[in-house]
Amino acid sequence: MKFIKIYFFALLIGNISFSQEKISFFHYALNSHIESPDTLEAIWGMELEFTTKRTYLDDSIFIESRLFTGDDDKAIKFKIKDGVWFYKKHFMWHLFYDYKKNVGGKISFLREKYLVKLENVVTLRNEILYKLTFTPVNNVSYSHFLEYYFSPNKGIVLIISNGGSILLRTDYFNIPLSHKEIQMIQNSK
Amino acid sequence: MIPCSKPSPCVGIRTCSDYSPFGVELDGRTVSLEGYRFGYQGFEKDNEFKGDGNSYTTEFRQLDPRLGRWLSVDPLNEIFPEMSPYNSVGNSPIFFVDVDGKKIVPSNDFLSTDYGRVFQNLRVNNSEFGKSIEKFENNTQYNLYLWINDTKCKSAGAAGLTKGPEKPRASRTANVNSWFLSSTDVSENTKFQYSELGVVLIVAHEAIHQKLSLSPLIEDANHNIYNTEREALVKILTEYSIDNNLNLSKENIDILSFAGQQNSKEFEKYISDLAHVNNLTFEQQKKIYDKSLSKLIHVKKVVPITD
Repeated sequence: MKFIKIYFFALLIGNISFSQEKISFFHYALNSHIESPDTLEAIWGMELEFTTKRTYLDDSIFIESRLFTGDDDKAIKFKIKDGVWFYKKHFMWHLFYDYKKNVGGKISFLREKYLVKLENVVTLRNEILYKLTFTPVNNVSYSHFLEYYFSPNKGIVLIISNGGSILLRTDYFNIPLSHKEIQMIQNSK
Repeated sequence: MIPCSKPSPCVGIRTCSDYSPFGVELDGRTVSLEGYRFGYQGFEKDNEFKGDGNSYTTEFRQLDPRLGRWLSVDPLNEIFPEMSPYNSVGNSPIFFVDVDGKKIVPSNDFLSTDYGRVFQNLRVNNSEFGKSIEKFENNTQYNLYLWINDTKCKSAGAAGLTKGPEKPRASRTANVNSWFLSSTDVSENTKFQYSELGVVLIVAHEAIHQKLSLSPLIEDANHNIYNTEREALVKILTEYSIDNNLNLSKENIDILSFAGQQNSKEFEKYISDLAHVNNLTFEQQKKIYDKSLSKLIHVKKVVPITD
């Protein structure tokens, strides 16, 4: 019996030591800051800039902080299975988005419950990006909200506020969007 | 507590207490004379029900301060679908008080914040601002509900949250009930904060959204409909500038009044026209605009001096 206990303890230690987490940070900078993201120059819209932290627990499960929750200390755990995204709440997996059926789930953050919607698709610099929005389920309307543009390979790479601020993920974009490119995105709505 | 040594006349403190956020009297920090019935937020104590300090009664409901929950549902629960009908003060005891168990109103603590002061100042002294929110005054159906969440640079980015309007349209109202969840810090990294003019701009901008929410117009995603009310924002800012001797030029008022509308067709035309006059590209002119706006509404953060 003692031998079995030691065996399982060793197995547990082995699992812990081999399952090292991979952590990535992604910074979202204003379109006008993208060429110099570390600048401390004051500019309209800088209040929206942020860095998100993604912790991979394994190949298909990761935890993302800040991106949707707006808070470093609040994170959402995601799982991707056969291209379908799930998030974890109350120890259960719930649908986030099903690309195959084009069906969005419902998710709560920032005091509201939202319906996840895939609005349309744009081709930007030869890459296909999917536009994701969150529509409040309850009887409220936002005067200001964000549109998220999603690359299946990279995640959210572009965020546009309806007030006109544009955030680019700095590991994906290194050249600012031109006025023509912004118009193209806006006209694709 | 100061005991009265003379029968009369005499002034003394009858009760003194420190409370947890939702109203539990803290052990060792409460003294009270027999017979004094009132406590947290001026509520009447209901000591027979659950023991000393464990229950309060108001005009509409009973509160259990240990849970921070009312014992019965909110009489206005239908117009606050996003909140539990049992929650107390919107779960934000710093920002609100709820004196009758029915309607939460801004607390004095909130009104002493930067946003609270500006809101109250504009509400009382700026006639154009007053016109923008007049439909919310004494309205029993809709509350002015502003939520500005720049504190931690919320990436979900909602700067204003408007309750309603749904059919039927609002009728009339009680107190203006504003909801700001914010400091004036712009960013943790950039060491800037909003100037008072910046706070005025944000409050006024969102008030116009609120005005539109009770009008027949339905706002579009890009602030094109909002732009039809830009003149109201110009008037608010002009009046504020005169009242406070800021001498803002028409050019600066225009820069301010286009803030947050950079997706609108009017803004596109505004920048294109300026770019044409200045012989610049659209991108160059837009960058100048962003910097000019920032100069008006951002100031270096005041860092307290420490030894």
